[in-house]
Formats: sequence, C-alpha cells, structure tokens
Amino acid sequence: MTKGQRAKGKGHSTSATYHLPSTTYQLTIVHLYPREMNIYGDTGNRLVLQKRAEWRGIDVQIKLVGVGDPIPDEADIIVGGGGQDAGQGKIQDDLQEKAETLHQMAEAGVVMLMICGMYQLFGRSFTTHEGEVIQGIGVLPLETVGGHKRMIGNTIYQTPFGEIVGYENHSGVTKLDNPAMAFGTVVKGSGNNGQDGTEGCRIQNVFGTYSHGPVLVKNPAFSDELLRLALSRRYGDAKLKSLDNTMELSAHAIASERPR
Amino acid sequence: MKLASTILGKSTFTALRLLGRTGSAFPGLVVEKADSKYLADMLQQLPQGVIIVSGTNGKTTTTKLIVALLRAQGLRVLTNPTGSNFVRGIISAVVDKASWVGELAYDIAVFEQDEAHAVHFTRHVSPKGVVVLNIMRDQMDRFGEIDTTKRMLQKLVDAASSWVVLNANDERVGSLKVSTGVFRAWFGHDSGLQKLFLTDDQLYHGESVAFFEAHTPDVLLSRFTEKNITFHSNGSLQHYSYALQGSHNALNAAAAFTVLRQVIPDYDPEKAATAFAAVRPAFGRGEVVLLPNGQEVTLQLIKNPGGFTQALRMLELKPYDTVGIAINDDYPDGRDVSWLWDVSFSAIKTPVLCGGDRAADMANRLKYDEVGTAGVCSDLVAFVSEFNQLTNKNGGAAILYCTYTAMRRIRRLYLGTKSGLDEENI
Repeated sequence: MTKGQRAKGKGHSTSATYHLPSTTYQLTIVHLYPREMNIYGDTGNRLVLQKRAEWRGIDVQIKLVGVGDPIPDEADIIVGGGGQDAGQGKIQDDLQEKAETLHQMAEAGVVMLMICGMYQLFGRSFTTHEGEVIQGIGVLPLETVGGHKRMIGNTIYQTPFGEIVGYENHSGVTKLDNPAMAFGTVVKGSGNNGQDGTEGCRIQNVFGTYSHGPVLVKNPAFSDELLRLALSRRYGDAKLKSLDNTMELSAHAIASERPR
Repeated sequence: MKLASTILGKSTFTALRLLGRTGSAFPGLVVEKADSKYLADMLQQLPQGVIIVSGTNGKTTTTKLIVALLRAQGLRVLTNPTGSNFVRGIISAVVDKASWVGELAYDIAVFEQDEAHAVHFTRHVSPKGVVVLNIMRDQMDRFGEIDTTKRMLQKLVDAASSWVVLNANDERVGSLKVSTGVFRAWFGHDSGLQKLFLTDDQLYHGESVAFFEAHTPDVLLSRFTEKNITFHSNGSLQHYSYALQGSHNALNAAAAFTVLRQVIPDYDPEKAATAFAAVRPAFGRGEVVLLPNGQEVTLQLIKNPGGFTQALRMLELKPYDTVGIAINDDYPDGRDVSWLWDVSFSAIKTPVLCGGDRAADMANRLKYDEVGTAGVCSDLVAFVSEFNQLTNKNGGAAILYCTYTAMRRIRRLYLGTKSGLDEENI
C-alpha cells in the first residue's frame, strides 16, 4: 500500500510507537442502522473506536446510516449491532439494496464489525424455528438456524488479538462453511453454535461476532487492530500511538472471572 | 378451602416467626401449591376490586402514592409492602392480612407487578383497573425484547375489567389496544418538559424524536420544582407540595392522581394534598440518609438504561457535590453490564466514585464519556466508607446510584437494622 494519499505533508515521526502525523489523518466511521439495530449497548463500539482514534489526534467523522440512506463512499469502518426481531424485519429489504455496495467495500478491505443480529444477516441466511428463511447478504460464508435454546452469559474467546471477554445472548445456531474462518475459539460460553467451539467469523477485514459487552470496551487490542487496519488501508502501514489501557484491562480481568 | 388455606398460610408464618424468619414469600408458596384458586377467592371479597400498577420504571413509587391517596380518602387499601412481584409474594401478603377465618377487611387492593408477573397474576385474578407507566427497554438478559414487554403489557391491559390509566406521552403505551367498554384515562406532561421525560425512542434515537401525545391527558404535569408540583386537570391548575425527588416521580404523581380520579371521582382535594405531601420516597428511590455530621446522601436505585438516564436528570434539578455509582451483576441486577453503554454520563461534572462487583466496568464506561473517576472500589463496605469520606471532604449533598443488590447491601450499611423487612421492597 502507498502512504499518505490523503495525508498533507510528510511529518512522519521517527518514534517507534508513533508514526502518524496526527491531525492530518481522518477516519470515517459508519454506524449502520443505529435506530433499528442497537440493543445491548452495541453503540458503545462506535464510541470506543471514535474516542480511541480522537485520543490519538485522528479526525473522526461519524455517519449514521439508516433505512434509505446511502453508505458513504469514504467509509473506513462500518459497525452494526444486535437487534430485536422487529428491528431485523424493518431493515431486511434495505440491507438487500445495500448488499452490492457492502460486498464491494468488503472486497476493498473496508473494516466492518457486525454484532449478533447484524452478524447473522451478513451471512447467507437465517432460518427461523418456524421455518421462515430470511435472506442475508452473504458477505460472510455462514448460515444460521433459529434454535430453541438461548445461549446466554459471560464469554471468553481466544482470538489472534488475544483473549476477548464479552456477553452473548442469542438462540441462533450459526455454522461456518469452514471452521478455519472463525474469528476465535470458545474458552467460556457457546460461541457460534455451542457445538464446534468456534466463535464469530472473519473474512478480509470483516468481523462478525456474537459478543456484546459491548465487545470493544474491554478488549483494547481488538479495538486498536480495527483502527490500525482502517488506517493502513487508507494511509499505508500504520502504527498507533499507545494509550493507557489500565481501566479497560482491569474491567477485562474482572469480567473474565465473573460466573457465566 | 379459603378457610383451610388461610390457616395453612398463617401457620407457616407462625412457624417461620418462631424460627426467627420474617417477610418471606414462603407462606405464599405453600398456599399456592395447596390451593391454586386461593388468590382469586380471597380478592373477590374486595368491593372495589384490584388495581395493578405495571410498566418498566416507577412501579414502586406510584403504587406507594396511589395507596396513600386512596387511604387519605378513607379506603382500606391492601398492597404488597414486602414488595415481592411474585404472585406468591402477593399471596403471602393476603394470608398475612386476612383474619384466621379467611376474611379480608379491605375495600381495594393495589399491587405493583412487573410485566412478566402481571401476566401470571391475571391468570389468577382479573384486575378492575390497570396502570401502565411506560415501556422502556429493561436489561435484555432478564426480560427479552421491548416488543415482548409490550405484548405482555397488552395481555395485562386486556385483562382489565373496568378502566386503564395510560401514559399519553409514551408511543408504545399509547398504542396499547383497549377493549370496548373499558374506560381509558390518561396522564402526561406538558410538551415543554419533554427533555426531562425521554421515551425509549427518544433515548435511543435522539431527542429529535417528536413530542408524542396519544391523547389529551386527564392529569397533565404542567411544571414542578424540587418541592412543588402543578397539575392541569379538569380545566384548572392544581398546586401541591411534595417530598419526592426527581422528575420521574413528578410524572409518577400525575399517574397516581389519575388513578385517584378514577376510583373516587369526587375525592376531597385537601385530604389528597395532605397525604401527597407526606409521601416519602420508596426505599432506595431518592431516599435520603443522613451522615453523622448531617450531610445528605440520596440513594437512587438504577435498573435499566431508561431509568438511569432519567435518574441522572436529578443532577440538573439540585446540585450534588459528590456522586457515586455502584454496579453489581448478580441476577437481579442483570448479569450483562452492556446496558451501561446505552446511558450517557456526560452531564456528570464531578469525578465519580465507582463501587460494586463491576466497579471497573463503570469506571471504564465513564472514561469514554470523559468523566473522571474518584476511585474504584469493588468491596461495598470499603466503598461506602470511602464515599462518606469523600462526601465529608467535598461538603454539600451527595448522591449514590446503585443497582438492586448493591442497593440492598448499601442501605443496610447506612441504616443498619432499621432497614429491616422492607429492604425486600427495592
């Protein structure tokens, strides 16, 4: 990747931890369906990305994209949350209209983080336990079937970005085409289906997970990896200034010891 | 059966008291198992029937207000003071208040019930009147989706035999269907107060969501201060003094007066005013405890994003120099603490002392709203001691927001044995 297409001037620091000439960098974070798909505090993921970028001097634009709104071309990160059945019903048709754009953006390496309900809809299909098939957009190679057992409680997953703590609450049983595409493996909890030990899915820079919590708030390494991927795509290989993560890691440590 | 079951229940109470246990729902459980029709048989005796108060937030305080207003008019009111929302808790209350021969010397009953328990209750007894305060999202790990909540409350409203009292400014409450022949009465607030009373949609979709009024309220909250409240009703303004804190309680009061009008259309306004002024906050709901040096600590229960957001508005009505938040994650608190991220804390201007099992989560949440932390203390004994020291140092009034189990513990630390039986009431 080439550096600095949007960067004004050089200004690259020689510091080992800080290669970004702060104020010249910009990130656009898109929140997809903030009205319809926003239960369990998933909006916190957007806030965490925004603040962790701003605390490093990066200029952040937040764009709320609802039903009928176009996804801005300049999107660097797209986040989507869990929803209620009613919310999922309201967005289904609109999501199909956005499918092609989202596929192209995923191909182009745009960072996406989809939680629970949106994670399911990023797969190919969701079959309810009444047998109704809801079409997904198939960005992620997986299918979900509504189950009768609620998978609920505190979770720990092992991922390439370290241990991730969160909280799951779903009855959808998700099967990946290939378990190697999982985002992580289950240490505590049910993950994708309560059977094969996989949790979530990653294709390109698209991440899907069942983890609420919200997932980014106590897992700063994952948050920073999303920011790094987004900045690298736009500006070339990026390294992030380190932040004080004492509070995040302390909350992480306590959450990992709470009963299921 | 009524007689035998009452004796069975009362004997269980006596046995428990001999064992040194009080305030238990256990006698209710024993009777429920022995006689499934007990509650219906007993409550049938009440000439004015049963009122159920439900909704996401405000049930306890509103129930307390309704009971006080009706008693002041001379009615004998049965209620669930031990606060158990379970049907067996209500059976316990009935057993306790009945005579040994199974007579209930009351005119009317007023029970608070959460959504799920209310539906269960209506399988036993059809309420004469139903009050629905609001429909907000609760902790999702406990009650599921807000639409499920609405469906449960619809069942409760369907069970009402005579009247319902509804919040005119809550879209979901306003869209509840009411059977023909059942009278609808409305309470609400002036459109100018909208910022103080966010509905679920306004909370999640921004304050730009338009002011909603399903119907002109029969009792309209026009304005209020810390000590005075004005309703617009029957074409005139009515002024009252009151001792409750927080804007949410001002609206709960409008609901209670709507119920009073419904039960006793020609009520005595002076008796109502006196009784209303005397109602103190329910346990842990703006309840004030005093430190040895006379400083006030307000205890405020928080259970869900809507309630917490509403309770943070208290900081705008009165200055608090010290703010504490205690978050536990036991089942009654909600095991999932994600909901803290659905609340905005930006209005807090002072560093917050964080306590409880999830104190670290709370401190981390505040960090992302750029609110400072005065300390993080998971042990509640140490937390309260530190909070009192901080309150002394800062001077002025203090407020402590607590989840359910943290509140139980903290009230006991402040009030000792005085917290007594009624702590179940939070």
